[in-house]
Amino acid sequence: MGKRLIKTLIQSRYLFTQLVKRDFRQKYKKTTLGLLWSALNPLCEFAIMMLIFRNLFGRDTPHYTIYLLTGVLVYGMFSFATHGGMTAILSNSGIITKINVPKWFFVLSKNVACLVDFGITFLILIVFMVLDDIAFTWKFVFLLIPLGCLILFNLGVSMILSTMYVFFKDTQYLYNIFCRLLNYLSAIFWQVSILPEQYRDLLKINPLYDYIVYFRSIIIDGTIPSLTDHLICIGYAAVFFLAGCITYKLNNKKFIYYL
Amino acid sequence: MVEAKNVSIRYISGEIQNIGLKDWVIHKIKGDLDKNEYWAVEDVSFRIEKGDFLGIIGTNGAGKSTILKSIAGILPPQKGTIAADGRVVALLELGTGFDGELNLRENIYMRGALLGYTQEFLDSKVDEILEFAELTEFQNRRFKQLSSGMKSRLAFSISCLVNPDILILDEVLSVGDGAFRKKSEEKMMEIIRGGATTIFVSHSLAQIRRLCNKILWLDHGKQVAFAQTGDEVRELCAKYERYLRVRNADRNAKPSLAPLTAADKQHQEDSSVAYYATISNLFLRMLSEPECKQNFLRYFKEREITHIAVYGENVVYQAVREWLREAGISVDYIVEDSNRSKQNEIKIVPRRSPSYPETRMFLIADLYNAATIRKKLRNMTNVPHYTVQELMDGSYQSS
Repeated sequence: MGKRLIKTLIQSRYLFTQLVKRDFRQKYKKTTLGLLWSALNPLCEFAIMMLIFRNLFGRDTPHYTIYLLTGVLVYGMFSFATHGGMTAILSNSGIITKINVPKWFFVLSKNVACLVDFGITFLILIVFMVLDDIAFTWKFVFLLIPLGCLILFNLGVSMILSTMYVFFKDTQYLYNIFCRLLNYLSAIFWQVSILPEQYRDLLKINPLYDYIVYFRSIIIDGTIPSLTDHLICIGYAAVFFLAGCITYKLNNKKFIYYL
Repeated sequence: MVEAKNVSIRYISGEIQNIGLKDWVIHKIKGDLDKNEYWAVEDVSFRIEKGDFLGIIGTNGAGKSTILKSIAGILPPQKGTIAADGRVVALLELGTGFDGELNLRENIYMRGALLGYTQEFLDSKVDEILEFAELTEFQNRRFKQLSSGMKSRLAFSISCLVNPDILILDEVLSVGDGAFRKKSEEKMMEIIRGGATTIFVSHSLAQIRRLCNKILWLDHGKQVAFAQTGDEVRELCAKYERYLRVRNADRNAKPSLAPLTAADKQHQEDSSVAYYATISNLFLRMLSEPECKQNFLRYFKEREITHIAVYGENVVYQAVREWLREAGISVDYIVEDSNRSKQNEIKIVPRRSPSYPETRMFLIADLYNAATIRKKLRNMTNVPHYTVQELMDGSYQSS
């Protein structure tokens, strides 16, 4: 099945690039600053958090700027990709009900379009890393692992959400609330050390937290996480990605009746 | 080739999307979820080959659009199978599925990409598409700034000019003004001659008669009949017309396939449109059935006719002309104008006056104005004249 999907994707690569371009253009259409928002958005969020939390948590956290920025980077990517992915099928209903195209293309293209944002935010991170005297080592190659996991994880979640969203419009509100919770549970601006010891491991249930921790341990501490951590990261990505594919596969033929 | 075998398509309504999550959960727990489902298409079977032009007829809610969606692969049937070989391009509801913010050029690329074409292919087609749609000068406008007629023209042009193997048109050939409609019908004929298979829904029976060589009649989702030959098509159209007449008087009338009575036939002959509009079916026969062609040729040969004049709308006479030319008969077609808005002002202009006296026969291929043309011809010349219909069924001998 995977082979067939990849074949479809290769055959339709032109369509796919068109969709990604469109998604990206749509995001900033009619804005004066355009693409610059991809940089400004995380930067402003980061600036606000910095302003509020630096004095609260920043004192005992080494490289707090980088600590915060990695959190913003990973969470931002997740949030953009999944919110975009959630609405991807419904917002393209005009096309889906008229032309026979694989519907998952729209979810995938939204996710790919988000990679551009990720890239831009990552450049900002690099700038701050230089300013913060972070040593660049070969270990940075390992960042590809959590990034790959995050992409698969986002795709899986997007597919589950977009399927749900076709059937229940309530999904978007529920998901917004859930995201708020997830944001706090991802230790983006606070240190785990403020939690009592016995609760700390509970955070690992949250895949986003695991990915953020991975990024931080490579960038800030310069250490490669343990094998267990790898298994957790990859496991989550695989499980969610598969769950997303299965959810989509089981339901996609029914979409047309609800669009 | 498109083949539908016992296709049934069901719609579901009154489920989650209408009642929201809370009520859905409550009803689900109570177990009294009220799911309404109805079969929009039930047990429909037909098969058409490469080069066929299938018309689907039926009153509102007959399931015409539903089955088109199914052939296009958008709505998979719950029962039965649909097989279509080749690239299917479906034009369902004009002007939808475009991006209002993108300009025309970008929209052509987007739509082309959605239909599965490559950039190189679209590069070679985009100017032609704009030109056919008569929108070249608007190419940098945003799609939403177009008038609805322009939107339709663009959509139609894209679908036709990308060389589809199977073209599906839902009620769209009535696009644009008279001139554009004529042009689009010509394009359709060109596509068919190029070997494409076309499936077409229209409420214009005249158009169906003019273009289609096979007809599927649906009523409330059920198949009433599937006509596969020229005679069957003509007969079925007449029966459908009879049904429409009956239904006008009695809303609950059921479609009937009872043989046509003399009164029905009278009705048919009363409307010249009905009588002459079958010409393009004849045409498709001429083009597809060699023995039919032979009959024509024999007739011309016997009477040593080498020059004839063809009258008719562009679509029709161009095809006739081409075919006759192939057969070595020179065509001095004379009637050019059949502007339907001015039905009484048909210009009959000798195109090539020197050969005019040599013209031994007039072939009238106009669908609507045959009677008027005939009258004018009678005043102009005593060269015999026939409609294609008359040539076909042999009534020329008595004429």
